[in-house]
Amino acid sequence: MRIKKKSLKLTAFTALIAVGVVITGCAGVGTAQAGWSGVTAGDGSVYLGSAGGKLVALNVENGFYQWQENLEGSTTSTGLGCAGAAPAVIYATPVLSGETLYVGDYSGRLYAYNINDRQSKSVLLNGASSKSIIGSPLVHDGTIFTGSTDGSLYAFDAASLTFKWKYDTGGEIWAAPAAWQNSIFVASFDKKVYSLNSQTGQPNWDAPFECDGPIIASPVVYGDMVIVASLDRHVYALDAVTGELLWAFPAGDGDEQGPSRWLWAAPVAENGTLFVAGMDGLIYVLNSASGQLAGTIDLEAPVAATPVIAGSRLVAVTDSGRIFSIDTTSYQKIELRNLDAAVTAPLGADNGTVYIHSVKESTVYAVNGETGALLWSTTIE
Amino acid sequence: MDIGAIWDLIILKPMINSLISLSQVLWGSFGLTIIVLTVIVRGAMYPLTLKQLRATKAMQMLQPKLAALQKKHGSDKQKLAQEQMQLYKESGVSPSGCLLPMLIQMPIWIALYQAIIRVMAVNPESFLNLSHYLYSWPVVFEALPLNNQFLGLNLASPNFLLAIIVGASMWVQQKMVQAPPVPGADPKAQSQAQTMTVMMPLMFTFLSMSFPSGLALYWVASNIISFVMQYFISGWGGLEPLKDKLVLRLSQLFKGQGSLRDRLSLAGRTQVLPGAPQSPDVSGQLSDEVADSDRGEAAAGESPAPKKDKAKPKSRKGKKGKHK
Repeated sequence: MRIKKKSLKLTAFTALIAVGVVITGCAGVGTAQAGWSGVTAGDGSVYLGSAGGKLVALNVENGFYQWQENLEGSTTSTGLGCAGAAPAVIYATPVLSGETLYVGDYSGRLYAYNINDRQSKSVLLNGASSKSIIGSPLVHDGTIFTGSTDGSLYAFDAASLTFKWKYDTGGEIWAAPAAWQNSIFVASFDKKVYSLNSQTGQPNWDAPFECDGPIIASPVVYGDMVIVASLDRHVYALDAVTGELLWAFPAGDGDEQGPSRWLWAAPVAENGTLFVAGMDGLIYVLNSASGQLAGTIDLEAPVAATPVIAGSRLVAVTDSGRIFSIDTTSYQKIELRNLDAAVTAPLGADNGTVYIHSVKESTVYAVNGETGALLWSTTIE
Repeated sequence: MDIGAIWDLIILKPMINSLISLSQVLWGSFGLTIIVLTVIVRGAMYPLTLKQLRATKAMQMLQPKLAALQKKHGSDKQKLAQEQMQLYKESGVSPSGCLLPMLIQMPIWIALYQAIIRVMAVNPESFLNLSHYLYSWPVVFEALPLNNQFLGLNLASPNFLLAIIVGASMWVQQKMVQAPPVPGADPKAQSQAQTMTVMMPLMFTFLSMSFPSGLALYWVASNIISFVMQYFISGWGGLEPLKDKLVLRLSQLFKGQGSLRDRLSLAGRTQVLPGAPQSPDVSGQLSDEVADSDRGEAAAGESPAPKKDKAKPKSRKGKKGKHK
C-alpha cells in the first residue's frame, strides 16, 4: 500500500515536471513583440506591416482591405530544443518603388512583393545566421539598402535581390539609411555615422562622424547636409560631402533632473527649419543653417513616432496617442484628437492625410492633417 | 501618484541607473555588471541576511521540542499555542525573526530582478520602454545599449546550461538552509522542507529555460553568495550527510586508500578531540597504504559513514562525533 502511494506520488511529480518542461520550454514566457511598422501610401493604397506579421494593403480612400500576405516568419528554438514557427515581427515601414513593395522583418529576411500579381521573393541577410532588420529599407538607383542588427549595411539589386555588397559598422543598425547623389548615409549603435559609395560600399569620408550616443533615428538629408539625432540628446548637422560637423544642438541641456531626453524620432526638415521630437515631450525647432533654437513646442508626453509634414503643417503623435498639428511658420500647435492608443510607429502622409498605425491597438487611422477629422480607421485582423 | 510610480521613483529607477552606470566602469560588460551589482546588493543586505539565517537556525534547533509539544498537546490547540509561545520566549526565538528580514529584503530583490530585465532590453520595444526609467546623467546615455555578450553567452536569450546551473546552485543553497536530520524533529515539517528543496530548484530551472540568461546569471550569482554566507553562519547544514557520503565514495574509489578518507574527512577533527585515539601520522600512512592496501579497503568498507563532523561549524552545535 505504502509502495503504491509512493509510486503515485512519483508519477504525479514526474507529470508535473513534464508539464513544466512543455510549458516553459516549448511555449515560452518571453516578452511579446509586436513591431512598429509605419504606414506608406502610394498607388491608391496604404501599406503596412501588421502586429501579426502580415503585409497589409488598405484602400487609401476608405481603409477597406485590399489584400494581406503572411510574411514567412522564423523558426524559433527554445532552450529545450523545442522548435516552432513564429509569425514575422515587422519593425520596418514598407517602401514602395514602382510596382514592388520592399519590407524587412525581425528574422532578418528582406522581401520584395509585386503589388500587382503579389509574387514575392525574399532573401535572408547573411545566410542562416542572420540577425534582425529593424530599420526601413531604402531603394536608390536600382539598389535596395537595408541595415541589420548584425551591424552591417547590405546592398542588393532591387529587381533580383542579388547581393551586391555589405559594409560592417561596429554596432547594430536600427536606422533606415538615407541617400544623396551617389552616397548612402547610415547611422549605427556604435555612435557613428558613415557615408558610403552607393555602388561599391566604400567609405566616402576620411573617417565616420562619431558622437557620444547610439543613433536610432534615421539620418535626414537636407540640402547638402546630413542631419542626425542621437540618443546622446544632441542634433548634429554634417557636411554631406566631407562629413565635417557643421553644428551641434544639445536638446534639454542644463536640466539634469528632467526626464529622459532621448531623441528617438527622426528629424523633419521643412522650409529651412528642422523639427526634432524628443522623448521629453518637446519638439525642438531649429534653424537648419545655424542649429540655433527657434522655439520649443511642448506636447506634454514622449514622442517616439517620427512626425510628418501634411500640407503646411507638421503632425506629431505622442506615445499616448494625442495628435497635434503644428503650424510650420508660427509653431502654434492644435491638438487634433486623442486616439487613446499607444503610437510608436513613424507616421505616413499623402495629400494632406496622415496615416497613424497603433500597433498595440492593431488599428490604422487616417486623419486630416489640417482639421483633425478622422477619415477612417481600420482594425487589422 | 500611484504605488507603481512611487516604486519606480524610489526603488526601480535608482537600481536601473546604478546598473547602467556601473557597467561603464566594468568595461561595458553587462554580465560582469550583473555579478558585481548582485554582490554589492547582497553585501549591503548582509546584516539582515545574517539575522534571518541565525533566526532560521534557531528555529531549526527548536524543532524537536516543538514536535514534542505537538505530540503532547496535539488535541488541545489552545494549550499547544500557549506552550509554543512559552518555548519561544524561553529560548529567545521569535517566529517572525526569519520572516521579517526576508520581507525587508524582498523589495530589493524584486527591484534588482526588474532592473536586470529592463536594462537587458531583449527586444526593441523593451529598449524603447527603458527610456522612461533613465536619469539625465551623461554616463547613462553613453553606456547604452549594454553589451549582452558574456563568456560566449547571449544574456538576452535563454541558455540551457545556465538554467541547469541555476537549479543545481539553488538545490545546494536550499539543502544548506536545511538542518541535518535531527532525531525527534517533526517528520511532517522535514518532509515539507525536503519537498521545497526539490521543487524550488526545479521551478527556477524551468523559469531559466524561458527567461533571458542574464536573469539566470543573477540567480546563479545570488545563490553562490547565499551558500557562502550560509556556510560561514551555520556550516554545511543539510548537505552534511551528503558530504560525508561523498568522502566515503571518494575513499572507495581510491582502492585500498582508506586513510585517504581519513585525510579528507577527519584531518581537521583529530585536533579538536584531545585524548581521542590519534590517526597515524600522514607521512607514515603513505607507506602503510602501499604495504597494506587490503587492510585500508576493508576499513573503509566496514566503517559507517561518519555521521557527525567535528569540523568548526559542527562544534558550535555541541555534538560529539565518533572518531576512528
